[in-house]
Amino acid sequence: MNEILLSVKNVKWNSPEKEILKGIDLELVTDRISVLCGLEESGKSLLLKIIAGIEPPDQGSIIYDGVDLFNADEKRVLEIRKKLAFVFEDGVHLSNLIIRENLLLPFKYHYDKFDLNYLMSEINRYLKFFGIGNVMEERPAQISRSKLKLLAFIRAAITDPELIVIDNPLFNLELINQIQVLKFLQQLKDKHKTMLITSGSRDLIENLADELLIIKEGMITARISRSSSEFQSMLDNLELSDLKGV
Amino acid sequence: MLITEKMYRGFKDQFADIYQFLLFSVHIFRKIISFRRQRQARTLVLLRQILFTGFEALPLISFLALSIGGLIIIQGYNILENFGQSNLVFVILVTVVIRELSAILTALIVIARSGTAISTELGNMVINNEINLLLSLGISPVSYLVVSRVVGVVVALITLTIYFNLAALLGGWLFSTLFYPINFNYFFTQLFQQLAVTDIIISVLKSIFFGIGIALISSYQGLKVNIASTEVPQRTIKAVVSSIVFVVFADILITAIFYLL
Repeated sequence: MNEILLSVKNVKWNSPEKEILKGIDLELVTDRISVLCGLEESGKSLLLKIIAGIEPPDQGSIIYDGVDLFNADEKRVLEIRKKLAFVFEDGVHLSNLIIRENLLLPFKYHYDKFDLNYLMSEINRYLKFFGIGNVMEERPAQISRSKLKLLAFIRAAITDPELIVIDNPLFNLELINQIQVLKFLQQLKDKHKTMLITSGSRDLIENLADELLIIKEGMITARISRSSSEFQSMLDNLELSDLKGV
Repeated sequence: MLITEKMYRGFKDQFADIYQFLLFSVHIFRKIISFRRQRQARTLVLLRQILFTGFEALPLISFLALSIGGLIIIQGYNILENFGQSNLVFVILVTVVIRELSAILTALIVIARSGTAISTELGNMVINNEINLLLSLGISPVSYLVVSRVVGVVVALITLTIYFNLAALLGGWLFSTLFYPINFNYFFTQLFQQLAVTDIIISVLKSIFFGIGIALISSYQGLKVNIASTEVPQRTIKAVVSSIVFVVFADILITAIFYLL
């Protein structure tokens, strides 16, 4: 039985010039991949950052496991944050740490003890899966952008989160890497992970999405489940070339 | 806009900035208390800060301290010899170096090297989305980046100040041998007779306050960078100026409290 994992309640966010998010209400349900589609500057990346607890909203709340991410005490928020992973569009890493330190940082920060051998074997498994060579002792500046992005997926996966939020997973990747990322996301889907993804990729939506969320001018204008008859027609009628991303 | 209105807005912005800085500082002090938590991740940042601020500054500190100690002896002997009071050169060495110069000069070197580095590094981290990355990993940037830097700068500054004192005294002895073939033991016995425990305590106390101030101001200015890379040098300059002003004021205050009151 699917349960509500996260609720977005009347979230508003304004830039100095204009209103970007105009009162978003959304519920993310366990074991489901939701794909958020929208035109450039529709507010989708911003919404993801707010959901991940990175950017505070001007109004509204994000409720995860009954905890308001922006109004609860730090200890409880920290516990929630451990259950959530975010993959940035540009696959950012800390530039002054080598890749090994980058991948292990969440564990070193959150836990006094962890199984390093198991983690390293998982990391090596993913490195092999993505066809990335041994980059563990290199700094982010020494590695290509596409590899950094794939490493960001590995960091998200090894923390074994309940919810994975991904901004434009296929952006800036060559075709071969796009295929691997789609396989990787399928693996996470098979593990019953809940995911919220922004993407305009037809391949990704067709193969992975359980539901499609359309965001337009700061409002979610449509929510279409895969089981719905509208899903395919919506996908066919989407002007995907207009959407930001791949 | 009227000039008075501009001035009013300027003062208002300054006070708002100072108020924000105070809130930031209170937050950091609360985090320092819980420093033992998240030890593994923070220890690396802490050690790197001590290495950079402390160990890597040793050659410059050595050069400066030996020269200052020597210069004071040269000037001191020149003046005091005329009055037949050349033995008072030890008083000058203790007063000028240990009570005053060691802490403030070390602080200025730390501002020039580490204050600028902290501000620039944190500013660039904001621009490069690295602060957001930490937030997404459930890592408090303040707790992970700033607390370790504050503790690291304080530890390094205390150590450097003590080292500066020793090097300056050694420099003083080396230069004094140019004038008289003065015995090492005699030099230091005379010197320690002039030295009170309070002098050492004040020197260390100053370096603690200076270290906290420099690290807090530099971190605050670095994290105030918003979106443009052009803000980074601007914030770094602000960090340097504010740190120097802080160090001088704190020095006057501490000296006044201990030696005048």
